[in-house]
Order: sequence, then structure tokens, then C-alpha cells
Amino acid sequence: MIDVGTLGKLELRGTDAAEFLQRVYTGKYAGMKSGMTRYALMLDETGVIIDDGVIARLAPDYFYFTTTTSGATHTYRELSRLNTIWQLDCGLVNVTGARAAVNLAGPRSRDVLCQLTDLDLSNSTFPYLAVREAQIAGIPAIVMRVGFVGEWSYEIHVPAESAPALWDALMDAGAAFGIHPFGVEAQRLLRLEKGHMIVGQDTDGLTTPLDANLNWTVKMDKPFFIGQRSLQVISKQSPKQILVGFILDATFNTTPPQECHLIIDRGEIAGRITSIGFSPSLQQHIGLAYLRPDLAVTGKPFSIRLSNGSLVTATVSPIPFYDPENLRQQETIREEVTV
Amino acid sequence: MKTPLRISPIHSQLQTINATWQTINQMPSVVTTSDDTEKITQLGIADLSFLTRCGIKGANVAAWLENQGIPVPTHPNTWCSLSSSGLVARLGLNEFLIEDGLDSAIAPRLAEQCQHPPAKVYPVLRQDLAIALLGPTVHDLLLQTCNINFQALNLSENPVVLTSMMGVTMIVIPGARSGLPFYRLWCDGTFGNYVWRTLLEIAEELGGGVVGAKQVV
Repeated sequence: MIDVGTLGKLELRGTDAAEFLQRVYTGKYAGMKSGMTRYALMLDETGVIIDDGVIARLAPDYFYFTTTTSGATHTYRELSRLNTIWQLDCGLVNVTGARAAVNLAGPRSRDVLCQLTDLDLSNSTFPYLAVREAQIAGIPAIVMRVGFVGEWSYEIHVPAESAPALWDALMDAGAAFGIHPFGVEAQRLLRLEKGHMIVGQDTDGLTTPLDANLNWTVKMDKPFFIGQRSLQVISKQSPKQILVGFILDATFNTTPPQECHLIIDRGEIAGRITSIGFSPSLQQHIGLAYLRPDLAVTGKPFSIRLSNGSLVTATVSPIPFYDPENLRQQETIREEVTV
Repeated sequence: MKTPLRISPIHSQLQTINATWQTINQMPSVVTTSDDTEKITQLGIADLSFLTRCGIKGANVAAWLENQGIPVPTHPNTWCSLSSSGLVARLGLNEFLIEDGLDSAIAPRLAEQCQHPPAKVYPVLRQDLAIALLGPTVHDLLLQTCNINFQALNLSENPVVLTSMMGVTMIVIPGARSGLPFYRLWCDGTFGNYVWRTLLEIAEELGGGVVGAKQVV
């Protein structure tokens, strides 16, 4: 279980709420079913990624959504500004400080949670990416079945004053299953295994969705979203860099490269590492890096220059590194310990 | 022991105080301290986070509140009393903070009714650190923490001040009791520990300190 209360948390209500989100984020939300969540990517007018999160539709005219931790204040201000300009029939409420959130993750998370709620947690009723409003340990909660860390997990949002009660109830209920708190370092490694990028770490002030391999989140056939016009121009040009996964050889056992180390090709800078870590699941170093497109080919080796000037060979790898078929989110695999 | 369903944002800060506790509105609360009466001769600071409250915003909120029988302050940035006990503060034009007194439960009712609100009425979950400051040296504390000259305000107009105090967004209702300053403050509970520690440090320098809720409600 990890405390994810630092995430930005916003509510949007009104008949135009879906339209507002359609304009702000790159995805489609108008046709999204109530009770479901969807990844959300926000761009600026130049098409650069500025924030991301998860949008949950709780009712046709009621959305609850998250932002990055560092982007919470800016996103709320920007969305408030846009709401004033567009004059749509919707109201935005910032509940970042008013709501606490924890992520209960792992193959036994359902066994823990089911002790504290009457909510039907079966996969058929509460599937992956669904959201429900329910009482958890007597606390009114918004529960999302999302999988940032790659395991069967529940993100549980409650009023901040009830956070200690929720935490303690979950720890008590999970004691028999060996529940443990985990921190941001572990979370970052787990998400890396799943190939999930972090805005601000795996993106910079120039990164577009095309660079970050997030084309699947961008619905260019929408009438409008912020950054769309720029992406229309950018998409006609060849990308200068693409975010890819990479691995070091499993036998690699010296000082590993670090984030921001450069990728060198024939004496020229050809990219940089944005994330790297040793995966206990795969027993080798894995990472994300921006690479020149001609190098970004699965299985192709490339060189990383370390701080001491020496070069380390890495290989472009498909992502996710871990559970690429997303079997951990399926009922059949839940009882197994490893993938 | 089962963890209480509601915990004040500064619950841990209050643990070291020699105090009498009582669970109010499901929240453990300091009701008296060993030297309450002595402290308020200078400056008392009390945690009132246990009071129930809710927020509502939107273009139709004023009309909706009136339909619910809730008195609505006529002017932006003013407040009025609830009919039983508690207050309604108008924050700008279209946002309201409703806080119950000790004996009323209007805010939970409104929050419940707001779960399926009419058009342009949006509930705002409030999880504030709610504080009361009282005593003759309250203004000395405020001079050190905020650049608003509260003493220039006309209390008969029931002003509500939205300001920044020690870098934290704060709602302030200045007032007086028995001729002495009596101020209410609300801020985002996630800043609670910082705000409380800072205010308490200054209060203690001024000869005051933490007092129980009984001194103020």
C-alpha cells in the first residue's frame, strides 16, 4: 500500500463536463461510460505534454480526475482559466487537499479490500479500469481499479480527515496477507517495469506525444483539443527522438548508467536516458530513453556514455517489460505469484 | 483501539498538550487544557476542526441555499449566522462555506443534498484546519503573519477576508467577544501542521498558547 494523496484531485460537474474534458485532454471522454476510468494526457498549445492523470466518470455529468503531483496547482488554475473563457456549463472543484488517496496493490489486494466493504469486487462487476463509489471501513470512498504499478490494485480516495482510519483498517485487514507500505522509489520501479512514463521525468519542456510514444492517447479526429493544431503540423515532420524501452545485458554487473546519461552514436549525441533501474522481476537493468528514430528499433544495440566516459551497450526492448499481456489484471492469473 | 473516523489535521500536534479530550462529531478534540483561563488573558489558539462544515459553489448556489432555508449573506466576502448556530461565509460571489455550531448539523445535510445537485450548484468537500484565536494580543500575532490591517475593518459589516497568511491561502473572519479580538481562520488541512506550529510559536511568545474548544464554542 502506498500513499498517493499528493496527486492532484479535481471534480468537474455539469452538462458540459465531458465537452470540457474533450477540449482539455487529448482523449475522448464524451462517450465514456459512467463507472469507468481512462488515461488522460494534457498538452499545451505547442503540443508539448504538460500533465497527465486518470479521469473517472462517476455519472453522465460528474467526473473525478487526477493530475500529477507537481502539476496539481497549475492544472487547476489553467482549467479554471479555460472554464472562464469557454463559459461551458460545468463547475470545477479542487479537492487535492480535501481528499487523501492510497493505492492498495498486489495479488491479494482484493482479499484485503473485500473485508472492509460490501462492494462487489468480482472482476465481472468491478473490472479493470472501473470506478465505484462505496463505503470502505465505513468511510465514503471513490475506488478506482487502475494499475500504475502493474498489479491488481485499487486506488482509494477518501476525505482527508478519514485517511488514518482508512490506512489502519487496510493495514489490519491486510496483516494476514503480509501487507506492507511501499514508497515512491518502489512505485517508480514498478511502473518502469510496466513501461509507464512519468511526466517531467520521461518528458521535458519539448516532448510531444509523438516523441513519447503516446500516439494511442491522442484522438486527432476530435473537433478540437489544446495542442491539436500544433500536432497536426508536427505529425507531418519526422520525429527527432522517440521514447523506447531498453535493457542491459543480464550479466551486466558494474556501475549502471544513470538518468540523463547520453546515448552516443558514431561520436554524436543520439539520445538520453530518462529512467533506469534494476528490475527484481526480470533480474536485469531496464530503462526508458529517447533515441534517434533510426536507432529505435527493437533488438538494436546502442551505446550509453557513463560519467567516466566509458561506454555501456544496451538493447532496445519492447515495453512493458513486465506482464506485457496485462495478465495481472485478469482473474485467471491473480493467484499466481510470478509472471 | 480503533482509529477514529475523523482526525483533525493537527491531531499529532495536540498529543503533547496536557488536555482533556472529547470526541465531538466523531473527531477527538481538545476541550480544555490545564491553563486555559490564564492563556486567554493574552492569546488563546483553539482547534475547531471538529465542527462540521461544507462548501458549495456555482452560479445558482445563492438561490439554492435560500430554497434550503439557509440565510445567504447579501454581499460577497461577508458572513451571517445560521439560524441555530454556526455561520455562512460568502467567499467571493458564488462560493459559500457553511459551518455548524456545536449543536447544529446543517452542513452534513446540505452536503448530502448536494450529492445530486441542481444545475450550476457544485459541492465542495471541506477538510479544513479550523482555528479560533482569541485574546487581547491577537492583532500582534496577525501583524507578524499577514499583511492585512484587520483593525481597519468594520466588524459590523461582517467581513470575510480571503488572504494569504505565512504563504498559505486562508479564510479569516475577524470579530470580537466581550470587547476582545476573536478571530476564526480556515485553511487547507494539508498545510495544517505548518500553520498551527507557526501560529502557536508566536502565540507562546506573546504569552498565550493552546486553549480547549470549550473556551470558544
